[in-house]
Amino acid sequence: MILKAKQVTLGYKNNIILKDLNLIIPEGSFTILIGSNGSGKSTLLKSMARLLKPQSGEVTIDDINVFKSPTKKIAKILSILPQSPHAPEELTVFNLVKQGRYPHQSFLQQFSKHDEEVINNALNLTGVYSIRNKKLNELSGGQLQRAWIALTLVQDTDIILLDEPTNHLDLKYKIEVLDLLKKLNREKGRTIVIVLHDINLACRYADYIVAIKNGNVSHQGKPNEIVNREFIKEVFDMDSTVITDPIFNSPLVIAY
Amino acid sequence: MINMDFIKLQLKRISFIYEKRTLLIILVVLLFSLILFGLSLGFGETKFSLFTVYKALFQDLTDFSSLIIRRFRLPRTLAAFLVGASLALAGSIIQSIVKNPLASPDLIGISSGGLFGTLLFLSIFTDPYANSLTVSIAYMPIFSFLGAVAATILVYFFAYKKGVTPFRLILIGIAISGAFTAINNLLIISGPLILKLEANSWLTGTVYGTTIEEVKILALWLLTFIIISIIFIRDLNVMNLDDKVVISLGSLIERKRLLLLLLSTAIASGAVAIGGAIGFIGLLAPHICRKLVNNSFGNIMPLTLLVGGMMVVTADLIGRTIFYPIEVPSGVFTSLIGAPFFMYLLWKSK
Repeated sequence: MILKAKQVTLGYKNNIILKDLNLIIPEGSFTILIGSNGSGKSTLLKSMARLLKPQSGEVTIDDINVFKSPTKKIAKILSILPQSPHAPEELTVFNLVKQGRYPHQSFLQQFSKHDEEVINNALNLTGVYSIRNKKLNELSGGQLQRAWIALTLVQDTDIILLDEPTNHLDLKYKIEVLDLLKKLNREKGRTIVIVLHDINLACRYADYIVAIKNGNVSHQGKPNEIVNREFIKEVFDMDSTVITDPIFNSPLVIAY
Repeated sequence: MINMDFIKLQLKRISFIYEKRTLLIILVVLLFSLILFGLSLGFGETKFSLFTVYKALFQDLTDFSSLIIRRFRLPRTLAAFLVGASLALAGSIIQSIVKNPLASPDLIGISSGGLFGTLLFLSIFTDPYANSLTVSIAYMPIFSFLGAVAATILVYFFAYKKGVTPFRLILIGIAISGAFTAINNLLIISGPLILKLEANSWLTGTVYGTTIEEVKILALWLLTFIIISIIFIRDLNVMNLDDKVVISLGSLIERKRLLLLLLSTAIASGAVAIGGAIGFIGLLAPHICRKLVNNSFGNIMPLTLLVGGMMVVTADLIGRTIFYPIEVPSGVFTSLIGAPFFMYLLWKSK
């Protein structure tokens, strides 16, 4: 399934954030959107998930317009985890995660064997199985984020978008969450698109990087091929030295 | 895991899951409700033992106790229970729609809108000379419903701005509620004499003088909407989550929100037609239930019906016994407990 943005213009009335933007997300890739604050990377992600209607242009999955198809149909192929989503505090992890099956269920079919299997797998994969009966307000930031990712997984979509999934997390949890997403991408073949602030983590995890600058895509490609001193200067307006990460062999940016 | 905590039904075309613990709690609360029912039927000017109440209900007697219990106390107690149950269910639905445990039908204008409809009905169809109705009382809930729907649509219309955010819905609701309360007061002042006499208890809420016919109508009304609520349980659960997640999960969010709002309006208006604007039940009952069981609509719904019902039965029981022979409307007690509790919730939520 190939997610595409075609000539997309996004913004609010007189404040155009992205203009005539074209982007193709490679199938099965781990794509990371980067850019400075206010560049519109989150806006683009929201639009690709049909949360924000573009002023012009269209977003398609395999040439199906996501804004014009039944939303339940799209919900079976694409899911998005927004930034710091709200949920009632007293909800248990299980009762949260279970709801990811919503697009697959009906009034008579509320918890099939298949549902149960998918939910169990997601709880295990995200490591929240043992805390499934805990309430959301009893969880650490990392646990909460993993519970939300479990909900996204339970939705069982080919394409998963995540808006800054590591925000407000300690470094340990950041790595944990990104490792989990990488595993999903590698082992389950899911196309993953995330917005990330940290350029070095982006270089380490992404196999495709998309940089947003001046209302459009300024660079895209594999981290090793595009991230260098000039790239950092253009995208983040910053001087830097880019070396090779001794462990992951990805570009490592030392900014100053 | 799931086998331990849940009851499952997994056939090819039908599958359900339910928490075992909730069933147990429902059973306990149901038992309490029955005892309370007995007490409510037994207490009053003349007191009867639970055994007499039992006999009066289930044996075909024609003595004095049967007359009092069946003719006078049973309709009233049933009405109290149904009114409370309705308000509590309506409250739990609203709270899910606006994703805020501080919302309830009386706070966002549904109750005052419903009361407007009721008062309008009474103003139009009361014969001022005979002080009696010129049409069947069965039409009254329809007027309450239309009044409540009018309020809801106004709230929704003014809160709409590229979709409705829960926050706007609450703020506009408070404003519309105020406007309807003003109109209601005007109607009472300018309406037939009977309205003036009963106005006070209408505005505070009471089930005094409810007939068995009214009880039947309310029961049928509530039952219908309970069934519809059950159909929407999954939507009510999903609606509780972040709007963006709701869209991601493929729910037609704006359409569902309006639909559920109307559902809640319909449920609350039935209660308002019979019991007036009994306050804070829609706020308190779901909150108590969330302390008793895990927060999921399937758990909350049956319990909130019972808890809400019990609250109004208790308020009514206290209201007609504590200062006897003076009747204190149920709404006085629910507000006495509800208002400080509401402030506590506000204070707690920063």
